[in-house]
Amino acid sequence: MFQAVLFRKLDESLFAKQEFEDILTSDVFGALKYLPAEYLHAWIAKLRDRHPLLTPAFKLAQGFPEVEFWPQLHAAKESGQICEPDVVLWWEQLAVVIEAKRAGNFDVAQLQVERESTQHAAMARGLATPVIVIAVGRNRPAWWSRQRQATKHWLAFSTWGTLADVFLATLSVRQAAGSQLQEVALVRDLLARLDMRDIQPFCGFRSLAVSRLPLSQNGLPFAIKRWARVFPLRILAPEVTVRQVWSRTERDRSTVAHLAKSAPICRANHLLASKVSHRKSRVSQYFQMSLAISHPVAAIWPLTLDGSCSAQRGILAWRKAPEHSLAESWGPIGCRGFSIRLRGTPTTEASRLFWTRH
Amino acid sequence: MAEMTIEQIQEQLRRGIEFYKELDGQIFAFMNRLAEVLEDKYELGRLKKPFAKYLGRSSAVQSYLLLLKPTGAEIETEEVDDDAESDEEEDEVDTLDLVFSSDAKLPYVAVQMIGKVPAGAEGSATTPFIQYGTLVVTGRKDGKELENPVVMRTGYYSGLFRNRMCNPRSKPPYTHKARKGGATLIFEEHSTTVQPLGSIQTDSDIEHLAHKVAEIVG
Repeated sequence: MFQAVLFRKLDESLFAKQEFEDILTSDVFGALKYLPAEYLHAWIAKLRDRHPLLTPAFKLAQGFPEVEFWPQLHAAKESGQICEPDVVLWWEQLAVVIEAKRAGNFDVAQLQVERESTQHAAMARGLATPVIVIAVGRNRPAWWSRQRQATKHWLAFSTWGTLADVFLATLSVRQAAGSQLQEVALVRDLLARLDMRDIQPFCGFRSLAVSRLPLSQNGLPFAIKRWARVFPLRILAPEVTVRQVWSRTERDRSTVAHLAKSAPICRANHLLASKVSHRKSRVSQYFQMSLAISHPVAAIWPLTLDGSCSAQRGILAWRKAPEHSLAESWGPIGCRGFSIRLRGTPTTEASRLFWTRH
Repeated sequence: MAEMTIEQIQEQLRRGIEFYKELDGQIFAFMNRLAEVLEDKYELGRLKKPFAKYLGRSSAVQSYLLLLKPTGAEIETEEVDDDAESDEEEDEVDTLDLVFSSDAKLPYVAVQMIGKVPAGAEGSATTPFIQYGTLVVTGRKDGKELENPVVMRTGYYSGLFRNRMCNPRSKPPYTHKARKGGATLIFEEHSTTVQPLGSIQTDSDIEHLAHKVAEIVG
């Protein structure tokens, strides 16, 4: 299932919402079952730190627990119903019930029943353990703050993102100490899997200006490429080098000013191309790209500019020579050719990036 | 002189797109983690999921906002169907009334990608930066006394901050009609602190920031 979804052999959208939720639960907590105990303990430690009232109970989580998926537990109350929490972690002195949702649609009554039923099951096993319920979802339910007084002694919350943080941070530590390749591969695939669901670990902003993405592996989905080399995390800064700066004539400037006004200045992540003008030229197939990037973005997207242009603005020009190469030298003034003008900064959606030939 | 093909340039721009996609995701991840810590450790409820707002043609400002529940505030809730699965569940809050005392502080945390550091802010930062602080309601536009408690739609609270964060030219006092039929309130900055976004590198930085936010709000 894991690889089939990862490589899009299996289309997740074909599943019902409930099944989809179960797949995510299976992927994440299934991986926790096979990974070294450090991963689970790192998650528990994070929850322990964030929920001071549950700290004593969480401290009872020692060693690796017995992991039970979708156990059918008899309800503690005499309703004859059976409840089915997603995962139950059985330590010797603690039982943790995990209820996972894709969003935040938890039902406090259901969580309470699962807790009582697990308590009941623990007693049947001859254990007198405290039971904690961890709700895992994208966000807290609407009732969370209203019910907090009644639930704060047994209910904790974790986002999927926090779990992703734990996977990445623990792997980083273990990689530094020399972890197994299989472990790296498993966590890498898991992070790619979470990435596909728009769940990303937090990696910090330190490296924005200088770091690079891992080497691309053509043919793989973006998410997999991104986590191809999990540690260290590398973020791409584009390397655009403006090689030629073109000084327009006064007459051309007026045309450009008009177009600049009409061209949408987009959100920092929109990129549009619009026609500038045809210029008389004896040399055809010249291209021109004007980059206007606001200062703060330029600070994190370093442009290397040749010539005397400012750090935020420049014109990239090239000739569509037969070999599609940049012109080594060229004379744009009085030339006739093609031009492309880009306003704003790149988009988050690749589909919005387009080039028009005029 | 080294040459660059059109395909290479396109590739560079595509990588640029990936860069911003990554940055966007990381900012949301950061704000969600911050909200999580604030909720768990400091019991500061948020009004809605962190969101980004851009004002379009006339501005290149991009802000990511996290709005927290004002001190001592109550939200007049309607029954929400917990079984209705929706990622937009928290946006329901937008339509609800927010009731708070007239001296309450309205907390916020913002990531500003572009814009000037506000005058009088504590700390120093270059863009992009994190801004956090509180606003207070100082009066009514019609000059009448403030009602106690103040009632406003949570959606207007979002609107107020969107306007404030996304339009650096707007000058205080910021005004916003509190609710349909209600008085137009005047807001003023109570406290503002800034720090560079680049200073947030690890989980412990988020914890530290949450502590500072909680101190201001408390």
